[in-house]
Amino acid sequence: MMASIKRSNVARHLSVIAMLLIMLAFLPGYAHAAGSGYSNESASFCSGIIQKTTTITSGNLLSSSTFVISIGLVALMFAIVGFTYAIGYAFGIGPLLNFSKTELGEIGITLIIIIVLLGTMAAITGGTSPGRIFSNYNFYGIFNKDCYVMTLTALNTTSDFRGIAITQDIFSLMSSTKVSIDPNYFGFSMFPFVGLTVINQIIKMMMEFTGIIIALFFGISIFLAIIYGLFPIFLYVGIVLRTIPWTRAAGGAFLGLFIGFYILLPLLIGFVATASFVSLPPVSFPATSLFTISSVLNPIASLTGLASLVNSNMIILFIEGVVAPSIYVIIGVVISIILSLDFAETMGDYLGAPSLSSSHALKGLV
Amino acid sequence: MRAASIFMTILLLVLALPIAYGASASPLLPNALGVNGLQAYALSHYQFVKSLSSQAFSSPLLTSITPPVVDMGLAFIVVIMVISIAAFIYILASIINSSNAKNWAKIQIYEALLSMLLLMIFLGIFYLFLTNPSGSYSSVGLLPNECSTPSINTLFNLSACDIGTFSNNALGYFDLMSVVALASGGAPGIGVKFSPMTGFGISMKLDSVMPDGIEGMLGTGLSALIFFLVLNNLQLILVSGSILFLTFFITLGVFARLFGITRTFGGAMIAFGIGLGVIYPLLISITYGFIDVKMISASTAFSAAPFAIADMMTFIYGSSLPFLPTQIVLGLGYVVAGLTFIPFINFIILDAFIVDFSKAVGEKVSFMALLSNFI
Repeated sequence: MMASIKRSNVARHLSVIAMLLIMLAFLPGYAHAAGSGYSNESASFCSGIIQKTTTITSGNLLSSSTFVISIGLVALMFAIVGFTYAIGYAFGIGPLLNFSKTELGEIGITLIIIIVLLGTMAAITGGTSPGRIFSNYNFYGIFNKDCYVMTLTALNTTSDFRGIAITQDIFSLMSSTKVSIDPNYFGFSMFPFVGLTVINQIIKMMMEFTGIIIALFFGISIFLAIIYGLFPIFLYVGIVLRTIPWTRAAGGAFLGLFIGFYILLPLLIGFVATASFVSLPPVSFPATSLFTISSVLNPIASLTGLASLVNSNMIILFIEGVVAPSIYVIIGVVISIILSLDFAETMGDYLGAPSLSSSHALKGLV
Repeated sequence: MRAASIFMTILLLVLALPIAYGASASPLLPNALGVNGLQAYALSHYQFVKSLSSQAFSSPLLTSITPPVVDMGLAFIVVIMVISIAAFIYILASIINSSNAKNWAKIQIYEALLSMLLLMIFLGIFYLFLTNPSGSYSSVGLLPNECSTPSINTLFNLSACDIGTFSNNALGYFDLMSVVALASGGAPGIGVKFSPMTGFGISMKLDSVMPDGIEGMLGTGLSALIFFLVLNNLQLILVSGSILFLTFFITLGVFARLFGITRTFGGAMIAFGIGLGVIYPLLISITYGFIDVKMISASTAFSAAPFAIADMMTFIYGSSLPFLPTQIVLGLGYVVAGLTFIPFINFIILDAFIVDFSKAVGEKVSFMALLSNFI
C-alpha cells in the first residue's frame, strides 16, 4: 500500500518534470537584451564558460555507453531480483519475497525516470543519441541567457564602481585641503572641507555594496557554468547508483540535485531575468563637476551645494541606478535557489533519499 | 587637479609600455620600469610557495594497496562459525520442540547469510575501484593533466590526486591575492600645493589613489579564503583515509552485525565504511576532477596578474572597455566554488547515503550532524 502510494507520488512529480522540460521547447533559445553597456563582452564571456557542447554532452562513445551501462545494470538487477523472487517463492522465504517485490517496484521507478527524463529531452532535440540530448539548444540557450544577464549586470556595475572610486578619491583629496595664512610666522590654518570625511564613509559603504554586487553576479555566472558542465554527470551516476539497492539513497540524491539545479533553477532565473530589468545602465556620479575655484574659496556655498548633491543626487542615483535593480534580481535569484533546493529535496525524497528532505541539509546550505 | 590626473595617466601609460613590448621577455630579466619586475617577483614567490605547499599539500598517492583479504577472510570465518552454531541450536530446538529457539536460530542464520552477501559485494566493489579509471574519466573530461600519470591507476589514487591538485591551486590563488594586496601598497598618492605669495598657501593631498573600500574588501576576501582553505584540509584527510575507513569500518560492522546486541551498531559502521570508502572518493573524483580540468592553474593566473593590474589602472582612468580579467575571474570563481559549494554538495549526498543506508541495516547515523558538531 505504502509502496503504491509512493509510486503514484513519484509518477505525479515526474509528470511535473516532463512539463517543465516541454516548457523549455517554448522558451526562447536565447534572447539577449538590446545592447547597452558591455553586452558584447558579456556574451563573449558566457560563450567561453558555457559551451554549446561539452565532453559530457557531445554524444561521444562514453556518453552513449553510460546510457547503455545504465540500462544494462537495470536489466541485471531485474534478473537478480527475479531470481531472488523465484527462490523466495520456491522455498517460502517471506523476507526474500518482500525484498524482491520492493526491488521490482524500485526498478520500475528507475525505468520510468529514464524514459521520462531522457526520452522527453530526446524528443525535444529530435536527436537519437542519448548523449546528444544535452546539446539541446534550449538547455544551452537558457543557461547562456541567464549567464549573460548576470555578467552584464556585473560588468555594467563596474562602471558604477569606477565612478564611486573616483568620487571617493576626489572627496578624500578635497577633505585634506588646507588653507594656511601666516604672513609673519604667526597665523592660522583651516581645513574647510574636513567634513567630507564623514561623507566618505557613506561612499565607502556604497563602494563595498557595489563590490559585493559585482562579485555576486560574477559568482552566479560561474555557478551556472559549473551546474551546466557538471550536473549532467549526476544524472548518469544517479541512475546507475539508484539501480543498486545499497546505493539507492546516493542515487536518489544525485537525481534530486540534477532535477532541482539543472532543470528548474535556470528556468526560474530565466523568468526572473526576463520579467525584470535587462541591464544596469552605467551611472555617472556628478561629483567631478562640484569643485571649482569659486567653491573652494567660498566654503559656505560649496558646503550647501555639497549637501544638496549628496542628499538628492548621489544617493538617489546610487539607489535608483545600482541598489534597486540589483536587489530585485538578487531577491529573484535567492528565491529561485530556495525553490530549486526544495524541489531537489522533494525529488530526492521520492527517488530514494528520504533523508534529503528530513535532514534539511540543503536548507542549511542556504 | 586635471593636470595631476593627466600626469598620472601619462605615467601609467609609460609603465604599461613594457607590457606591450616586453611580454615575451623572460621574467627573470631585470626591468627598471617595474611591471616585469612585479611579474618576476610574483612568479619567483609563487615558485617558492609552491615548493613549500607541495610538501604540505602534495596529493597523498597510494602506491601500494593491500586488498583487505585478511580482514575479510577473518570475517568470513566468523560468519561460518555463527552459521554453524545457529544450525546446531536449530537442530537442538527441533529436538526439544522450542519455537523461540528455532526462530532465534533462523534469524541468526539469515543475518549471517546477509553479512556474507554484504562482504562479497563490498569486496567486489573494492576490486572494481582498483581498476584504472583514467580512460573513462578522460573521455568525459574529468581527468586533469596533473593526474594523467601512470601512477594514478585506481579510483582512490585519482580522488586523492584531484583534491590534492585543487588544494595546490587554491593555495596558489591565495598567494596571488596576497601579492595583489601587497601590490596595492604601491599605488601612488597625489599632493598639490599652491602658494601664490609668502604667508598664504593652499595644499591638498591624497595618500593613495587606492580607495579605502578596496583594501577592506581584499582583507575580508583573504580571511574568508584562508578559513575555507583550512576546512578543505578536512576533505584531504577523509580522502587519504578512504581505504582505511572502508576496510576498518566494514570489517568491524560485519563482526558486530553477527551478534544480536551489536547488530544495529554494526549496520551503522557498515554504512559509515561504504559512505567514506566508496561513495566519497567517487564524489571527489567527479566533482574535483571537473573543477581541476576547468580552472585556470595558479601559475597561469600569476602570469596574467600584472596585465590585469595594468588593465585595471587604464579602466579606472576612463577606458571604454570593461575591466574583465577573464582568466583570473574564472580561476577565482572555480576556487571559491571548490571551497564552498562543491564540498557541501558532496557532504549532502554522502549524508543522504549514510543516513538512509544506516537506517536500513542498523542504527541511523548522520554524517552531517557529526561533522557540524566537530566543526
